[in-house]
Order: sequence, then C-alpha cells, then structure tokens
Amino acid sequence: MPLYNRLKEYRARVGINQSEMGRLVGVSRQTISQIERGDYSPSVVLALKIARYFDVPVEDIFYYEENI
Amino acid sequence: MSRKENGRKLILFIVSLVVIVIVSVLLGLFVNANCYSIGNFILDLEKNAESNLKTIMLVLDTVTCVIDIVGIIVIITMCCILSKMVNSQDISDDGLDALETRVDLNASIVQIIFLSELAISIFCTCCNILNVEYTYVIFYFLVLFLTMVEMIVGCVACQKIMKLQNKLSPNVDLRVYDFKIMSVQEQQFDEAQRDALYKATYSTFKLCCNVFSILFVIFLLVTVVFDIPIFTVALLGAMVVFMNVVFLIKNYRAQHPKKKKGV
Repeated sequence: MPLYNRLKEYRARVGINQSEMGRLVGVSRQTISQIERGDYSPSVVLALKIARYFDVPVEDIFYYEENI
Repeated sequence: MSRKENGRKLILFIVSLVVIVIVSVLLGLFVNANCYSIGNFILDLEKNAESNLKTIMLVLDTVTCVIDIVGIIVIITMCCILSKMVNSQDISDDGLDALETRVDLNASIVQIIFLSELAISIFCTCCNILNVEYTYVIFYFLVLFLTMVEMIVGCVACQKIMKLQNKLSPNVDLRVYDFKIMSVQEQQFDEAQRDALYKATYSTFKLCCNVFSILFVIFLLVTVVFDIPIFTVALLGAMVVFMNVVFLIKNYRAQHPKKKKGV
C-alpha cells in the first residue's frame, strides 16, 4: 500500500510508547503498531487526531507516493 | 460491561451447559435401557452379520476416547504455556508485537483443537445412540463423560486465553460465555481490529460459498448416480441460496443506507 508514515519517528521524538500513543488518540496499541508497520491505513479521523497530537499538518506524518 | 451483567451471562452459560449434560446423560440412559434387551436379542439372532458393525463402533469409540484425552492434555498444556508467556512479557513495543503474534497463534490452535474434538465426540455419541445395540455401554458413557470433560476444560481454557488476550488488548473484554460473541467483538474493537475482523469474515464467507456450491454439485451428481436420499443435497442447496440471499440484502443495505428521519 503506497501510504507511508513517520509515526514511529514522531513518537520517538516525544518519547512515548505505542500503548500511550494509542491511549492518547483513542485506539489500541495494536492499531498504532499496524499503522507504523504500514499494514493498516488509518481513517481520516484517526490520522487527523494523530497529527493534532503532534501539532503538525497531517501530511508531515502520512504521505502518499505511488512509486517507491 | 458491568460485573452484574457478566455474572448473569456466566450463570446463563453454566445453566445451558448443565442442561446439555443432563439431557445427554438421560438420553444415553434411556436409549441404552430401552434398546439393550432388543440389541441383545438381535445380536443373538444375527451374530455374524453384526460382528463387523460392533467392531467398527468399538474402533470409533476407542479412537474418539484417545483423541479426547490427547486433546484435553494439549489444551491444558498450551494454556499453561500461554499463561507463562504473557506473565513473563517483554514490555518493549517489538516484544509486545512478537508476544501477541504467538499468543494469537496458540489461541487459534487451541480453539481449533477444541472445536474439532468436540465435533468428533458429538459425532461419535450420535453414532453410539443410532447403533446403540452394537455399542458397548461402558464406551457409550466413557465417550459421553469425556465429551463433557472436554467441554468444561475447553470452555475454561478458552476463557483463560481470552483473559490473556484481553490483557494484551485492554480495549477488548471478551468472555467465552457471551452468546453473541461476534457482536461484542464488533462493538469493542477499534478501527484496525474491526477492519481485520471484517476482512476475515468476508474471506470466510467467500470460501464457504465456494465450498458449499461445489459440495452441492458433487452431492447432486452422487445422488443422481447412486439413487440415495436427496435430503443432504436439498440442505446444501438451501444453505448456498440462504447465504447468498442474506449477503445480497446486507450488501444492498450497506450501499444504500436508510436516511434518518428529519435529516
């Protein structure tokens, strides 16, 4: 799936683990883990919630590239 | 979910289990008591002709008992291993991912073993009831007893595994005695978990539809060629039609949801 993300990087910057991240945006640790691995594309609402938490535009965390 | 509600569900589950046990034992006692003399009478009349069926029943009962005992031992062992795994967990994110994969895999294996041996035991019990005059009474009750033990051990093991899974996914609180377990899953899961659930459900539906359609055609041909009762074919055909009709209706409703009044 050509949706990539820098969630792990952003999370590491703030210094929180997947469980805390999940709790902050209202999902499970497994969902955060799947997003980071690229196994799951989050809904728009969840992507916006994550971006809002880090206080950055959503494109900074999630980006779409067709040919990588 | 409140403690009181869980307690109520547990009581309902135990009552259902006890009713099944009592009905099975009574059925066994009744059938054996009524047919034992008839069975002996038939055995006296046709000793040679029945010796084969008697042997087949003996083999079936023995194999079922062995499978049941092995299954119970495997389930208990796997449950203990899983418990140890979760309690000695690595708290890093990668460690949790690996642990979760192993727990889910083992949990699926335990559930498959439980369901399979339960199906074998129920099949064997049905054969025992149908061929009661050829079944050794001690084996009838041994199979029945092992089925009950297996049901109790399986339910307890599944509940223990669900608790471990709930520990790893705190947003989920599933219990084996939830009668509508799939609806509860749907309500409690978050978006990624629900996505996985829907994908798994749809692929299961696709597979079932294909398998049942093929079985329907095969059974139809066999029925025509060998002139055997058509009940199985009719049942399979009805299942295929029912599954597809329900899917078409649900699919239409999902694509064209009813607008709420006043919006």
